[in-house]
Parts: sequence; C-alpha cells; structure tokens
Amino acid sequence: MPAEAAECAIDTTALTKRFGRSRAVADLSLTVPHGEVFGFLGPNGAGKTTTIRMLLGLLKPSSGSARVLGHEAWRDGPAARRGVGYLPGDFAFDPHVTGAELLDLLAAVRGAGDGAFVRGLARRLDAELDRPMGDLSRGNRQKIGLLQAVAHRPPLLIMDEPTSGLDPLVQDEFADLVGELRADGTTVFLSSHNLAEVEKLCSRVGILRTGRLVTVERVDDLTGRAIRHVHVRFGEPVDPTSLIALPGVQGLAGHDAQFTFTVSGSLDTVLELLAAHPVAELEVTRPSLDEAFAAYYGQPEAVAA
Amino acid sequence: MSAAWQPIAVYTARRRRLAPLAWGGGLGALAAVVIAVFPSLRGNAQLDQLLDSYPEALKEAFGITEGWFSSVESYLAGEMFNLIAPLACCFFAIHAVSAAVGGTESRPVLEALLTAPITRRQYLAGVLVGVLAVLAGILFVLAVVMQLTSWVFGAGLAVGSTVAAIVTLWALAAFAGGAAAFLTGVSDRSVIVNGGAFGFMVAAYFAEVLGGLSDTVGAVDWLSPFHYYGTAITDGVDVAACAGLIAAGAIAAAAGCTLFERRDVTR
Repeated sequence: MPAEAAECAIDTTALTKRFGRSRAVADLSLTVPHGEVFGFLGPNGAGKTTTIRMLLGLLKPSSGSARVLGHEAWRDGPAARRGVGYLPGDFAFDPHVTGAELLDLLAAVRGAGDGAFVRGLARRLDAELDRPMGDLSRGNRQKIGLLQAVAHRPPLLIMDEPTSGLDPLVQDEFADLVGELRADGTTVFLSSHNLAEVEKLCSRVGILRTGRLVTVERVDDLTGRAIRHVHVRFGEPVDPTSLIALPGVQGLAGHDAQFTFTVSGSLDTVLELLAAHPVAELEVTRPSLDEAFAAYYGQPEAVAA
Repeated sequence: MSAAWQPIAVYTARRRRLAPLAWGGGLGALAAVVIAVFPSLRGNAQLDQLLDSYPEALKEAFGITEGWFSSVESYLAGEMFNLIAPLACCFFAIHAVSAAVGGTESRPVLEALLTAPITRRQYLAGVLVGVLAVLAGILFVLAVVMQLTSWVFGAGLAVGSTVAAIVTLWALAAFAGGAAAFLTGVSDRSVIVNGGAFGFMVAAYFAEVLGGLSDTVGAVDWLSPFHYYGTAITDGVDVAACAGLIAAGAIAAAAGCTLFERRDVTR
C-alpha cells in the first residue's frame, strides 16, 4: 500500500514486546492519523522507547502488529522507514564523523535529501556541521540529529525525548519547527517527559504506564476533564461542610468566606451551591497536563478500551 | 540487492582509513626485519641441522620445513606467514566486522543507519565489503614493504611469491570476516563475536597443526580453514583453495545476514 494511501501514519494492533519473562509493552493498540502531532507520555521504563523501536523495525514484536505509513514495520521495514525521520533522545554517531559527512552519508543511504532545506535549517539552528560529532556538546549533537531526521522531508517524524539537553532557546526553535512541519502536513509522533512541551505542541496524547496504554485523549479533554482548581471568596460566611459534602470536592482549605479546593468531574453541583450565596470573587483554573498526568498515575492500573 | 550497501561500504572503509598504515605498517615492519636478517642466514647448514634436530611437533607447530634457510620465502613462511600474519589479519577482519555491528560502541551508528530505509542484509554486506577493501589496503602496504626491503637487502624475494602470500592471506581473512558476520547474526555482544570468531580461528590453526601429528585430528583437519591456507609464499596460489575459503566465508556471512534480519537491534 503506498504511503499516501494509508489511512493512518501509525497503526498498531495489540502490539506486545517481551524481553525474556518481562513484558515491556502489552497489547498496545493505537492509531495516529496523517498530519497529527501526537504526544506519547510515560515515565522512564513505561515502554515508550520500546514502542518506538518496534515502529522503526529495530525490535521485533513478540505479538501484534505495527504498521507505519501503510507498511508492516518489521516485515517491510525499509519501505516503512522510507518516509520516516527519527530523532532519538541523545543523538550520537561515530565521533570522528562531522555533521556534514553524516548528512551526506544518510542522504546516500536514503537516496534522498533536500540540501537547500537542510542548509537553511542548519543556519537557523546554528548547527556546527564541520566539527566531528565527538567534539560536540549534547545540545549541538541533538541539532545534528534533528537535521538528519528532517533532511529528506519525511511525512512522519518520530522523536524520542527530542529536547532533553537542549537550552530553552533551542527548545523554542524546535517547537517552532514542529509547528511548521505540522503546517506542512507532517505527522509527528513525540515521546516526551516534558509535559509543557507536549501540551504546547500536541493535539492528542497517549499515556503509557508499565507497558500498557492507559488512555488516548485530546490534550484539551485531558486537562479539562480531570480536575479544576477553585478559589472562591463569598460575600458572607459559608459553612464549609456544605462544600465538603459535594461530590468530587477535595483538598478544601480556608475558612469563613474564602476557600480553595479542587473538583474532579463535573462542576455543576459546585456551581449550584455557589449560586445560593453571594460570590465576591471566583477563579477556576484548569490543571496543567503535568497534574492531569499525575492524576492518571495516581489511579490503579487500567487499560484503554 | 540495491546499491544502498555502497555508501555503507565507503563509510566503513573511511572509518578504517588509517588501518593500512597502522596494520600494514606494523606487519610490514616485522616482515622487513625478517627479510633484512635473511641474507646473513641464507644457506647456513648448521642452522638447518639445528632445526632438523627439533621435535616434529615443534616443527609442525611453527611451520619449520626442510630448507628453512634455503630461500627467503621459506624463512618468511615460518617466521611470519605461518602464524603471525594470518592471525593478525583474521583478528583485524573479525574486530572490524564486530565493531560495526555489535557492542555499545556501534549502537548509535546502528540506530542512525538502520532507521534509514536499508535492509540489515545491505548494511552487513556494506560493512563486509568495506572491511575487505581495507584489508586489501593493509596487505598492499605489507607487500610493498616486503618487496622494498628485499630489494634493499638483496634477499631475492620474488614478486610472484609475495602476491601469492598476500592473495591467500586475504582469502583466509575474508573467511574470518564471514565467520564474524555469522556471529553478529547470533549475538549483538561484541565479546561473543570477537571471542567466538577469533577463538574458532585459533582452534582451527591448532587443528591443522595437530592434524599432521595425530591421525584422529588429521581425519577432521579438512574442516580447518588453515588446511586450505597452506604455504602459498613457497607453493604459489591454490586458486581452488582460495575460492573455497572465500565461498565458505560468503556462505557464513549470508547466514549471518539472515540471522541478523531476525534479531532485535539496540535493545
């Protein structure tokens, strides 16, 4: 199936990987449509990198399947990878090879490369192409890694903790670049610890926990649904027990007329109670993705339907 | 197989571009000493008698033949081409293949190249071609040093003898590289690839040596690649033996490619 004709850029079905008796990834079913920037979240050891290595054909799935751009990632690896750019978390190569030599080598292996695009991007990132990889700092190696990942203008970019070790300015440049790639229709699969980055860049996220996919949701839904922080100042003293009694209210602090608390689930009952009293000040804030993520990790292990 | 292996071969050869000077120069220096000394020993009957009195096992082990001092070719065969040069060249081929495919050193390189649209067969083929090209460079330097030293010291080393020794040495090392490629298909641990392949070559050497002393070992010494290596510097190239070594190495490498395509990379 040609890459363009594939319905999804990434499509895994019950993807499982075991190393001996330990199970790194279990029954992972996930689809990422073309043009989406998808965040793949999870702590160290959750199975993010193992999943990515199966998508890239470096690891053979123990069971299940992974299709990339319409091609089976393991059996038809070269065809699948033809349209993929990959940036690992700590990009490295032969320490004696310069960035320019590496880009030339990969262009020759791929039989494709957009020299003008890469040169322009190298100037923009201030990448040091003429120094051996072994002489570069981690951040500068990562810039070369980004260049090699996008040099052939792939329709799918897979990145595993791409901004670790980069300074904030380069992280911003990186975020801008991902935005431009998305605008060009590139699908981006972004594994990250950096929740702010994921929140900024991604439209949907998948959360992985001990090898299992806990949920796949839109970032807005995830941050909007989970919990809200409420700060309220009433125009008169209010009995706090009426607030504590409401479903979903937790962490109540304050006294008399001023309270702060969190609400999980619907705000309806809280609003009904507030409406019964004069309210001088009300502030409801959505949680960061970080908090939403922590909320998931606070739950017992569950598997996405 | 498409041409994707070619840039890998070029990269592998460039990565080892100093090896012809380092390895070829080192082996060349050893050969130069042997050749330079030879004119002072040529035709020394007392030395021949002394060597004649050595135990057969010792003579077999070190390739000491009758007329050791009668020609520079015989002397080079015993001093260098019987043991040191073949094991050194085999070690180079094994280590170079192993370093490109296994171990932590190769991991970032593998991750960058194998996530490009290339098959592992193409990658391993490119590595092997690159390593064998560098090996040819090493042996070329060795051959040049041998001929120059012979000319300077009047040792009388025939060009044909040098070519025969070098060609056969290359074939043996190509076999060793193929054996290493086979083991890279089995394991991603360089210690297993290096130890397994080099251990096999050393065991094969002793099997060939002991084959001359023991009927039991002699019955199976045809399995040893050293059985086909022979003494080309004095006897000339055995084309069939060289072709057999290269073919066996190619078969081992092909099996290694198949296994490499089936195993995990960079866990």
